[in-house]
Amino acid sequence: MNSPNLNYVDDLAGDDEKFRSQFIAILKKELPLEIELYRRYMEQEHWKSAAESVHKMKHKLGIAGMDEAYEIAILYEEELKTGAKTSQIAFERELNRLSDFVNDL
Amino acid sequence: MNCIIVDDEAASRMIVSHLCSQVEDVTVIDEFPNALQAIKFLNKNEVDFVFLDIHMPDFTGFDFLDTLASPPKVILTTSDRNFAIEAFEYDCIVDYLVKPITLPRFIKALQRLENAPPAAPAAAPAVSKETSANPEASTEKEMYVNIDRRLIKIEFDKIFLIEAKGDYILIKTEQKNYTVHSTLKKIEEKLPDHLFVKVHRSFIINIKKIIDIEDNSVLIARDVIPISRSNRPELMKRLNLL
Repeated sequence: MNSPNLNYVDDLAGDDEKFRSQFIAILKKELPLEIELYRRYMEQEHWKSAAESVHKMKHKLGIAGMDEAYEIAILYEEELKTGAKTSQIAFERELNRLSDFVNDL
Repeated sequence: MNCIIVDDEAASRMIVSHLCSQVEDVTVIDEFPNALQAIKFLNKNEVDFVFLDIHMPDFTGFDFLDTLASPPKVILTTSDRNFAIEAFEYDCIVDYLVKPITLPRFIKALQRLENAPPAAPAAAPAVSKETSANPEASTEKEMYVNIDRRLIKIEFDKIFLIEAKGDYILIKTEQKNYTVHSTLKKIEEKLPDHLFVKVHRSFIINIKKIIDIEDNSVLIARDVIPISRSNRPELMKRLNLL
């Protein structure tokens, strides 16, 4: 599994330190809200809404360079649309890695 | 070229806005976290093109395009590779960017935009489906909805509108609003045909509560509701036009 990293953000920002710090601030603000919403939908067994949350977080996995986790999210999103959860453990493990990484930024 | 960004994800809007700042001749004049705000803006303002996220809650990018009579050119932005085929059904869509977006791919999309023909005039509205008679529902004056294990009576003539919200529907009435775990399709079967009409994939309205209709939106109480191109003919047919 790829380790979460900021390669994409660094490429995007170039020398623009202001953008870099603002973007990281957005990540730190937005990701916990998305995770909270996902967990709430899972508790309520609202699989379709949970799939929408996974869809949003999929982008964050891509931003952090977590390519294999991104593929797991694609699979899990499709599973949730049908009420299946085969990839739940794998996805949530990757989500926790992403969350820890973003928290430490 | 002037553009707007429509995306419910703040990080995505920031990325697209930053990429725009990296290229010449592209100015972001506004950003919107949902399609409804963007529709209101486009009803009063012209732009050269739109960066449009497809996957937004309640109101998707395709809903947005269906609502606009003459959509400007559009570059789709999405984390979903599967929408590509549907995207080609819209003449206004010039390219399709999969997130996270890189600068080289972004520049390529702008080149395609510049080479694309001008946005086509509004397509003819799709032929509407005949309203299916629902005699059983039409004789009823109210329905009951299950909220927190209580059956609440809602009178049809007190309903303003019903909105799809993910796994729920929001029923707005004269007295209060009710959030019910159901789908628009299910409630549509319960509603009397003579009072209600679907104006959009996400909205059913009470015809008697319409205040006014302007181009691609209808005012119900304080809510501006979009009208999709495919649903507009049915709505117009149901109005007592002078």
